[in-house]
Amino acid sequence: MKKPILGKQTFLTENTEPLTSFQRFEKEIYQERADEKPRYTGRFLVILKDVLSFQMANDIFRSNLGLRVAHSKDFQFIPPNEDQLEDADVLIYDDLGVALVSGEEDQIRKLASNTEGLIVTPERIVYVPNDIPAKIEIPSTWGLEVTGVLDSSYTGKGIKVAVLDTGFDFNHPDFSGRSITCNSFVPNEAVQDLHGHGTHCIGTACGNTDLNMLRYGVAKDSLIYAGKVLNNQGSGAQSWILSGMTWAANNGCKVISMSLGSRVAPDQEFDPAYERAAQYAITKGCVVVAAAGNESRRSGNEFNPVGSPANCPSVMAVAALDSDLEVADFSNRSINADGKVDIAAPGVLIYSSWPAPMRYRTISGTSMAAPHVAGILALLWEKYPESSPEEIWQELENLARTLPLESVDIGAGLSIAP
Amino acid sequence: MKKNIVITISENHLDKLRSVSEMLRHEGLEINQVFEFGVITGSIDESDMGRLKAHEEVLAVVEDKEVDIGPPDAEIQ
Repeated sequence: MKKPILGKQTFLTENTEPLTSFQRFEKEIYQERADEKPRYTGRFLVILKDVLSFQMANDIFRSNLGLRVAHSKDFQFIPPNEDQLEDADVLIYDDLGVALVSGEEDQIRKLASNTEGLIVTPERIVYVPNDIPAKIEIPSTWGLEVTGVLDSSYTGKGIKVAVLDTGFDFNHPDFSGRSITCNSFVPNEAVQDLHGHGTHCIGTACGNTDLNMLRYGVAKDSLIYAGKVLNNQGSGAQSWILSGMTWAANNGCKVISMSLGSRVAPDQEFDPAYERAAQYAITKGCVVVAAAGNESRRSGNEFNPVGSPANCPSVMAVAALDSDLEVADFSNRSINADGKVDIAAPGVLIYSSWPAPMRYRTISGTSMAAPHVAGILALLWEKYPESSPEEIWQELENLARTLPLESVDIGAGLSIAP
Repeated sequence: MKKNIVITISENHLDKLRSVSEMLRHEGLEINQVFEFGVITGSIDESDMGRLKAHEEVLAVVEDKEVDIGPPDAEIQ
């Protein structure tokens, strides 16, 4: 029996080496459109219309086509397994009236055209549905290691950090006893995060440890400001975001983290309203950080500009790196005059908090990179409480580790904790 | 059709934010929010948008863009 040719939709079988398999998954699967995946195995299913055609088909397989036939009823005690079918070209499922045929193509054509009472169809490959990706949940907080957060004596103690996102899961056990101030700018939706993205970002910027004491959050003693500016479907209006930025700045937040954005076209200028809001936040003593965006597909030679609002001069744009300290395949680049990547941070396979019942999740994106930088900024504010936002921004860039990569992709380099 | 818009007031008119927003209201703008850093959000008939841009106090008029992140089950967000 010919082995089926199969496409790939999961990296579950290679689960022992999650990172390698994730990278392969990225390269081989996620940039490929669903209709480019192979659909057929190269074998055929012959459906037998009635008992007569059953016997006839058996004869045709054996005599006319010279195929070797096995019957499912030969496997009395164990279900038929293809490993035991090496000597057969045809497996007839007697109870189903179906035969799996692995003959050559011209044999199959002959069978299909000359025989009545048979339906010949190519055997389809069955995929895990696209919208339920296979997940690897091996917790790793490599991001805290490479940024030096685990070695830092600073914890963001007393520093107010605002995360403007889909809200926060107030029932999450890892945050009991923490100071959390919240406000929803989404009409008719409470701050409670029914999406997950906001809880994940707050976990990275301000969280501490999971139930097994694995640390995943940077500024673990910071004061959390959760502003809901994206609805539970993960989208928001610009006016909600401007309101959130104003709220955070007026409440004395020293950092605003925004893992959100709109795609920007090459040559498109930054949005003056966002720039104005960011400048206002700076006058209130706050540094504004945003995700550079995930629109690029570098492995397919597709590079897209830093999105909005990260492309504003007064907003720090954060690119994503993987654990090999390579630029993440999806991470955007400095292409437009103003839309520079300012710094880079871990953004591939990031483990953090997620609303119940999952509680934790490992995901990727520049959305995960921005809160790493937001947390590190809180550590810097704790160290230099009398500094200006400009000085803190400068110090963050001074501390960054240069990497053998282009500055259009990583700005000053990998962000490092003080 | 009414559109949600974001207006940025030019820097040298920031001190007159109140009178500028009053003027825009007269042009048909239904004001939602005035930010002290010189941004006004609101809604207006699409046909009236051009009139707002004509004022020298107005630096930019843009439609309120929707901002997106991936769906919760996406691996890249």
